[in-house]
Parts: sequence; C-alpha cells; structure tokens
Amino acid sequence: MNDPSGIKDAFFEESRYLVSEMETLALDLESEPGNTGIADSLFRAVHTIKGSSGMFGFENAAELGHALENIIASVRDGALKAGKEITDIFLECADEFKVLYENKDIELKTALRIKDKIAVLAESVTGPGKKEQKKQNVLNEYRIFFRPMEKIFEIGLDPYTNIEELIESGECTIECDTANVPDLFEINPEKSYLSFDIRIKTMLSLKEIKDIFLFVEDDSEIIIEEIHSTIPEKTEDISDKLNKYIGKKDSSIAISTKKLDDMVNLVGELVMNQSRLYREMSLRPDDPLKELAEAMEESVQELRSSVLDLRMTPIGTKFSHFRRLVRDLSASLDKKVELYTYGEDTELDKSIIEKIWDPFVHLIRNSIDHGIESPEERLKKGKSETGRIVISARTKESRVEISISDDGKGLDEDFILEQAVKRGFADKTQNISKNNILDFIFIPGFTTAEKVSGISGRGIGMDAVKKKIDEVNGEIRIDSVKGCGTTITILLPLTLAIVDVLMFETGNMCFAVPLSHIEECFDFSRYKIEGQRKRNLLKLRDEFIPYFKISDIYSLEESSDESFWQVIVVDHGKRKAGFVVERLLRAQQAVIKSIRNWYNKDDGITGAAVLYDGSLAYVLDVIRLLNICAGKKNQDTVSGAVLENTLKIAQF
Amino acid sequence: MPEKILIVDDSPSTLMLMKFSLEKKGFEVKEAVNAEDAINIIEKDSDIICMVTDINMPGMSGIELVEKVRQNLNYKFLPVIVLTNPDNPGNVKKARGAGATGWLDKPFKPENLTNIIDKIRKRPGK
Repeated sequence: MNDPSGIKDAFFEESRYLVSEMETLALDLESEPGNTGIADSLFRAVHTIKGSSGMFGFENAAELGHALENIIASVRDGALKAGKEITDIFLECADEFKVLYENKDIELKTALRIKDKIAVLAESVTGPGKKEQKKQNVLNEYRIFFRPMEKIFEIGLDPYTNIEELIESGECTIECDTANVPDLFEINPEKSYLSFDIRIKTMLSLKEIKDIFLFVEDDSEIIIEEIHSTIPEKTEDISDKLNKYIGKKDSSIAISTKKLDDMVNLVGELVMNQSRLYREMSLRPDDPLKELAEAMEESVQELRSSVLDLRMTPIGTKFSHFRRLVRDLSASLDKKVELYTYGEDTELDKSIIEKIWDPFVHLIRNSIDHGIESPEERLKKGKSETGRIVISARTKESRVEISISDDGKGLDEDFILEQAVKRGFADKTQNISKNNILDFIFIPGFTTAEKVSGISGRGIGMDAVKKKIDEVNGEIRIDSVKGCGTTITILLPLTLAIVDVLMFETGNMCFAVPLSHIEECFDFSRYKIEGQRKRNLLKLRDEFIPYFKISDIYSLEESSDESFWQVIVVDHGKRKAGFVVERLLRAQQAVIKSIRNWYNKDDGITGAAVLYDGSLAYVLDVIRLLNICAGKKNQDTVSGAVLENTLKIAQF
Repeated sequence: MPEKILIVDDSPSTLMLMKFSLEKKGFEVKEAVNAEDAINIIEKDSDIICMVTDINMPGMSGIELVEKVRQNLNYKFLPVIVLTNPDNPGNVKKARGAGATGWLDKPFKPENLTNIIDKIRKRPGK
C-alpha cells in the first residue's frame, strides 16, 4: 500500500504495542481482580485500539474493541467479576487483533463469534444477584498531592471545595504545606499559597477521585496515586513525589530496533569525530574554538550515555510474555504450573533481550514439557499438585544473571552419561564430574532421536540454545538434582554496543580486552619463573598461572625488549591465565563493530573497536582465546597478515 | 434558602431545559438572554453562587462576559461555566484564558450540568 508518510507503519507499531499491553493487563487483572487501576489501563488500551483501527477502516476490529470496552466498563463498576473467563476473552481478542499488523481487518465471522461470547457474558451481568458486588467495592487508598495555582480564585475555583468533597467521600488525613505563604504584609488575599498532601481511604475509584479535581487539572499541580496495600508506605518528600509523577507520566513508545541501532551507530560515529576534534583542539591552546570543542565534548558524552540508555529495557516486559506461554502451555499439557518472576526491573540491552528470547521460550517449554510432572505423578511423589517455575533476573557486576528453575523431575545423570558413552562423546573409564556430565546435553547431535522418551527429554536443541547465548557473549550453566528440579543459569553482558576495554600493543598492532574479564596487570619480568620458560608459568603470590604470548598466538613479531613486557591476568570461571603483551596503553570505552563474519577461523577475536583517531583495534574474546590456547597450543595460529586484511575490510 | 444560579443563553429552549433540571435539584434559577442582562442581574443580586453562560450570543459574547465578571471586585470570584461547542475546541482555551471556571460541551445531558455545578459551586462554608 502506498504510505509515503509512514502513518500506517506507526499504526502497526502502535497496535503491536497495545495488543501486548492488552495481554499483559488481562493477565494482571486475572491475578488481581479487584485492582481498578489495571482495569482502567486495560480500558485505555482497548479504547485506543478501537479508535485507531476504526480510523484506519478496520471496522470489525473497532466493533470488537467496542464490545471489549463494555466488558471492562462492567468490570470497573463491579457489575462483572474479573476472572479467567474475562481474561480468556481478552486473550482471544488480542490474538485476533494481531491480524491488524498485516494490514488486515478481523474477519467478520470471527468478530461475530467473539461478540456472541461477549453478549453471553454481558447477559450474566443483568442476571439476579450479581449487582451485590457493586456494594462490596474494595476500600481504595490514594495519595493526592494538590498545589492549586496561585491565581486559582481568579477563575472562580475554590480549592477548599475540592478538599471538602474529598473529606465527605472518605477518611482523610490532610497535611497542608504553608511554606510558601509570605509575610503578613506581603500576603495577597486573592492568591493561593498552599499545597496539600492528602491521604484518603475511600470507595471511590481513581476516576471518581480525578473527577473531583475536574477543571483543576490544567494549571494546578495535582498528583493522584493509588496506594496498593501490598506496597509498604513510602515516606518521600514532595520533590521526590513530583519526580515520580513525572516519571509516571513518562509513557513509553515502541521503536523498531533498527532505528535504535542506526541511532546508536550514528552517535558512535559522532563520539569518534568529536574525540578527533577534541584532540586536534588540544594541540592549539590559543584557538578560540577550543572552549566550544570542550563544551561539545561534554554534550556529546551526555548524548551518548542517554542514547545507550535507550537500548536498555527492563526485562520484565518479556517476563509478561512468559506468563502467557506458561498459562497456555500448561493447559495444553494438562499440567498445573505456576510461574513466579523476580527482578522484572533488571535492565538489559534491547538487542540482547531479542536474541535470547527464543532460547528462553525453549527453556521454559522444556521445563513445562519435560521437567514438571503431571499432577498425579507429583502427588505420588509427595510434591504439591502444582509445579513451580521461577524466573529471576538480577544484575551481577557488569553482567545480568537470569535463572530459570523448576521443581520437576530433574536430569538423570546416569542416563546422560550412558547416552554420551553410547554416542562416543565420553569414555566410560573416565571419571567425569557431575557438572561435566550435564554439559553433554549442550553437545550438538547429542540430543537427537529416541532420547526424548527415555529420560526427562530435556535437550532437543539445547545446543542451539547454547549457541544463541554464546552469540551474545553469554554463559549458560545447568544445575540439577534428580527428582527435585533443574536450574538453568544464564549470564549475559549488559550491552553489546559499548564495552569498557583495556588497550594494549603487541607487534605494532593494537588490541583490546574487555575490562570485565581482567583481574590485574603487572610486569612480566618480575613474576615469570626464571629458568623454566618452557613451562610458561607465572608465580603470582602463591598461585601458578599459565601465560600465553599474544605475539605467539597471532604470529606477530615482537618489536621491543622483553624487560618492558606486561602481563594481563584474565579470569574466567575457575580458570586464570596471563596474556603477555608488549605495552599497555589505556582503558577506554569502545564501540565494537563485528568483523567475525569475514572469515571462519576461530581466532579469539570478537570484533574491532573503533578508536578515537578513527583507527581500529581487535577486541579479544577472552573465553574463546583461552579455549584456543588450552586446546590447540600453537599448531593452528592465525597469521598477522590475515588479521591485517580483516581490519582493512572492517574499515570500510 | 435555595442557592441561586444565573443562566445566560439566547436560546429560550436551552434556558428552559437548564432551568427545569436545576430547579429539580433544588436551585433557584435566574435567567438572562444576553450578557448585558446577566451583568445587570449579578450587580444587584450578590447571592448568586454560580453562573452558566453560552458563548455565542448577540451582543457581548460569553467570553467577554467572563472577562467582565473577573474585572469587577464585587463578583470577581464567581464560578462561571461556559457552554462550549465540541466542533470548536479553541473556545475552551479562550474561555479558560478569560477566567472561566469550567466548561461543558453542548449538547449536554441535564445531569452533566448539575454534576458540574455540584463540583464547583461554593459550599455553604464554615
């Protein structure tokens, strides 16, 4: 369709956002039926879908939206009770609304079928005995901050009227802030100087409370917050609360990842150019433009950090999708599963979240399908009928740790070992530790064919999961206790775009190591063990650490005397190693550009960092580099000439 | 004693409708068919607790009426509701700028009017 201004695209993106919002809210409403705040938000989401699909000519969708509005309105005034039935309808409709993204309207037949269902529900409202619920309205608690504008009396309003109405409609505690009242001689009796901090317990809904302040809202400050009983009371001062208010108003919009990436790239280039400018200017102390360059530097840095922040998304938005998944999947498998999520606020780079989405779905599916037992089986084992899946996320140093635990049957190590031996991945005579046994399920090809029926069957595509996690520089670990459950822990970097690195030089080439992997640095000559160079060991305090020369790994020619060399000690899990380099340069933040696709050899390099002067440096992937060093030793090194070429390619 | 409300509109039918619904709620209603009349009434009667006025009237407009009200010390704090036309949303802004207390889109249901008056009228205070 011809859509030069992109309005349709905007509509598709908006509806995508709204539909997912609708799903989340519908599920929320099921778990908190009495929460009118959720009902209000749901109403708004549905209302917007209805409005915009109507404007774009999708009448059936608009009709359906209208019917949904009615349901939620009945829920709001208590005529209809929120619950599974209603959530089901909303989820069904959400699925139907998804055709809007493809520029199609919902089929009339479908719309009518759902509307019939809704009509049945609506009829139950008018039935006898249901009206009572209206009386059982929950007691809501609100906190209201009200600062009438100075000139409020001049438009004929009297704030006292509003406050009196509040007093009449519930139990109030009102604090009046008189700090702004001037000295007696300066008081203008026609002005309002007060502000009020009100707590009220009332039957009124949020909307009704807002109605009390009708006409006040425009020019005066008014913040109305619902206080949920589960949230502990907060004591914040007014400025905090105002900030919170501003934050609350800060609604989100959906932006396509591509646009975001383009922007991050542009800002990356801007930062680089700015740095060049800055360096140029620092060579000319008398140039009047120097000051300007300094000011620019500051704003560019700020711009960069806020743009990078754009990429950070709380992972909770994805958790809500899991709720839907768990609900649908457990129902289809006749299992009872409850999902608990923690750490929804944990922020992670948007592109990482997108990349790990499939693996996550896979892991959860595994947990429900193969981990959690059927209700009967669980009862037999003395477990509760309902299985539990716990997903939790938290920030751990510079990484995010996400774990998925279930209390299902766990993994059978003996069986896995047996299979591994059978398939030639392991040797029976070897003494293999428990963790290593579990690692077998990540081997590609390990988890094929008949295995599924044998044990918990967890495993189809576990190698694919691992690969995806590896792609974003993450780590995956499995812990399992047979009969009790399984925990899968995934460690992810916070962001892919920008990394703190330590720069160093070897053989006239520039490299970078992510700071997060570095434990310490020191002089090579002081710690290497004299006379035993062949064993390549360093003695660091009481520890012996193997070391590898970067110049050996990449067959580079050393350009300086050994006595100046330095060692970077890296730490990965329980492994420690030193990399010997010729000269340490500095620590800096680097925008990493991928170069890996240009040739296939595993060289332990993740990408190229763009430096201030516009040149490039290799960023080492410590984990892969360690594997290479440990495995292949020197037989299969990458030559410096190949590296040189890659950099040239990357520069374009 | 019932509270007094002044309604201003050049359309007799609107006046009738408003009068009817307000009287039903127990208000005493004073009527004016133009802004000049309205000024005369509030000059004399200080018991009026609220004024409701149309915008488009022959002679002085509703917005000018609000401005006049706000300029006179005797009744500058009188709550005034203007009746607006949803097709002309700019009027709300103009009315607010002139000092109108609230507004109501025409056509309206009688209970909307009484609800709004309930919100903004001065209560018999302590």
